[in-house]
Amino acid sequence: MSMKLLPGAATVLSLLLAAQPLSAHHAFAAEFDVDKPVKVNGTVTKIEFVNPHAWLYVDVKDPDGKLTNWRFELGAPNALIRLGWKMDTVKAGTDVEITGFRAKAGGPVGNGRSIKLPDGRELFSGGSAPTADR
Amino acid sequence: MSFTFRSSDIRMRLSNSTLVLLLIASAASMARAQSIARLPDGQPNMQGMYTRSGVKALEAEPPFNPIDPGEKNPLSVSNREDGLGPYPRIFGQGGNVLRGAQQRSQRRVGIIFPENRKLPWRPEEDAKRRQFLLDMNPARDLRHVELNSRCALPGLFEGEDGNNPYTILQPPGKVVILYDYNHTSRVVDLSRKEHLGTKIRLFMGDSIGHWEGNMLVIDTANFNGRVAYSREIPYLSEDLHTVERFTVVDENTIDYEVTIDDPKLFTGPWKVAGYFSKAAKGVESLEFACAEGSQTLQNIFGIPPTH
Repeated sequence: MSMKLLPGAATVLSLLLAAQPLSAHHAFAAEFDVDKPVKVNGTVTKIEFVNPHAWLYVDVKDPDGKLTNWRFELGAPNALIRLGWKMDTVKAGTDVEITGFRAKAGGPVGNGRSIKLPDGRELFSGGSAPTADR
Repeated sequence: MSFTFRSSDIRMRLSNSTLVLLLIASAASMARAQSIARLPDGQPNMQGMYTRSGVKALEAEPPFNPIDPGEKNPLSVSNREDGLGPYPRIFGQGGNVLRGAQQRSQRRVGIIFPENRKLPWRPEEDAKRRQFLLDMNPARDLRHVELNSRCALPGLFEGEDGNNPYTILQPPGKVVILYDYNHTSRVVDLSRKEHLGTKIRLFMGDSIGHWEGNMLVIDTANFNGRVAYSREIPYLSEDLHTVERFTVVDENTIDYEVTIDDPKLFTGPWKVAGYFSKAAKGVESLEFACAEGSQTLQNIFGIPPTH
């Protein structure tokens, strides 16, 4: 029996199947505040595949219209690639909803735990957030 | 017919069938050992890319660790029940992509000496260690930020097992271990019998080695006192001396054992076991430059500290 997957479903499946246990590059709890979860909706301005962590930059508009450029830590580039991410998985100009935790030092900075895309897909980013089986 | 063996406290009877099974197992082990290919300089060939598993030193009486990602730490996200906790379990189930086929249940792992997993800490040093951990979250100063966050070399043990493979090369007279993690490398000299002068101190130490059959023995000293064993053992002293034993089991498996001797911190040596398993086909070593783009210290301290 042959099986066909919708392109979107195939992408999500590949992200899941390619996943590997992500023991974090460093301790999450030392850098991000678990008492300060954050959720923002905004537009991606750029993604940097730099070591030791990739960063996603998002323009977020506050209620009075002022734009703030947030940055969110993702996994290391090699971890993201092994997870199935590609350089263009999240393009500049894409509207996203990002959930994560704010940096201990404050500012518009956080750990990007998950990223919702306009088509409903939710991407996990690795980063320094732990997995349930640790 | 049966055979009876007597030792000081053990009497064991072996039936014919048990004896035959033992002989077969022994013969298979010898055949496997003999089948390990040799390189031109005589070394058993252990070249290839591996993942390392099992070398965590999980103590019987672990300290409270405020940067631990697990549920016992109230400062961890693992305790959240609002959907923002750890990633779903399925997220971590593709490890075979990177790992080889070796099963953990078949190998020795963790602290193997002392058998009760109580490390022989000097009491005053254990107290210092436990206080040090408390000062890591929030981080008191740069020294209390773990090595990984500072992009420092990891020492022998903090190689992020599971995420990043190791490549072993054997040029004539040497064994080279390349860590995928943070571009770390070790060059083990098989000809030198003595360590470098004591004034030369290194993150990865000075390693000299020799082969005993299919077992590579690496003796390492001259550490710089800045390396950790793990998140729970966040530093070791410059007097650290290790003896590692890599036993080539077959072309896919290397058993690993390390003896930690650090008389400043411990009253005696302790041992941890683990294993290297040949990485799955197609796994490549990827760039892991750490320092170039790290914003971790900025995120912890606001302004990178100057000390």
